Amino acid sequence: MKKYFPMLIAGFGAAVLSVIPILKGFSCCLLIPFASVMSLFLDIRVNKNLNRISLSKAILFGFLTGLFATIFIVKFDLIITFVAKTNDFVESLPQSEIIINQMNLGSFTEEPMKLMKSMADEIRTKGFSSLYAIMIFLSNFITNSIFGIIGGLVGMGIFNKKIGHFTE
Amino acid sequence: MLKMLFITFSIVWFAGILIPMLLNENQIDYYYFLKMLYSPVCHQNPEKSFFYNNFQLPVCARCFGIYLGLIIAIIGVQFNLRNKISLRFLSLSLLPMAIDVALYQLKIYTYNKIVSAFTGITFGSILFLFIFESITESVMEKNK
Repeated sequence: MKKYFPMLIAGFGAAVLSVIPILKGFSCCLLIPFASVMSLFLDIRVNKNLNRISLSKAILFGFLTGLFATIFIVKFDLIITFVAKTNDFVESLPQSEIIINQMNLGSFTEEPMKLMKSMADEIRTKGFSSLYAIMIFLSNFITNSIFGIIGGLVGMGIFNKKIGHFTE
Repeated sequence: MLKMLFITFSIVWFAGILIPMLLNENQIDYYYFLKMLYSPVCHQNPEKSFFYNNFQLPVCARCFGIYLGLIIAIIGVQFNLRNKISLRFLSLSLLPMAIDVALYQLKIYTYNKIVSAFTGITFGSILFLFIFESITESVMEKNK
């Protein structure tokens, strides 16, 4: 279990930072790769692991950091939504509807719009929508795991250079 | 194998960004599908994105630059243009982008798509070369 701590902590940290309004915009592209690099750093420090980082380990660390970050991001989002009974999705829906209607896409958008409206209604009344939860989990999972792996590969390059420098 | 997978994925990803350039108004469904596909990785702000034939590219100018830099680096790697990328060089490549973002956030100057794209190209290409080098080193070590 101890070996998963670095990923868990880094993922949690990234999720906490991604709730902060300005930092939210950098969530996928900066915070998650940075969290992956940090998880590799923590592994070196906590587990006193001074071996060169293998490719599979870098990918695994990146992927799991992305996964843990996704779990916490979704958790935080759902809790905030439940308390506030609103979120960015609900707030921006009327604006999105106007834009979509202006595009004159016909019947193509009717069903997705109905679904989105029912999700927004559920959030406004109950503070929770299962469809919304699934939607944000999937979109966060795909993005965070990809960017997490990229961060893991960058971290592998950084720390292998450093470890190589020390062992030379 | 993994290197090829990484390169193929990068090329397909970048090709997807360019698809709106080939579309016409009757193929708007494909366009919205593409936009939706790229929406988790970019804010897609119209004011910060390039347009072609009235179609907004599915990523902003900076992201477009990063991915274009990635493709330039892939081409460079194919022509054996490989250099050891140091950590300092990687950090330096991030600097123009960081300065651009900071100046814009501090409202010192207005957003410029061309500048954003160029800072993206610089960072994207160096980042790819750094990742590619670390993968190559790791694979070589495994095969020893």
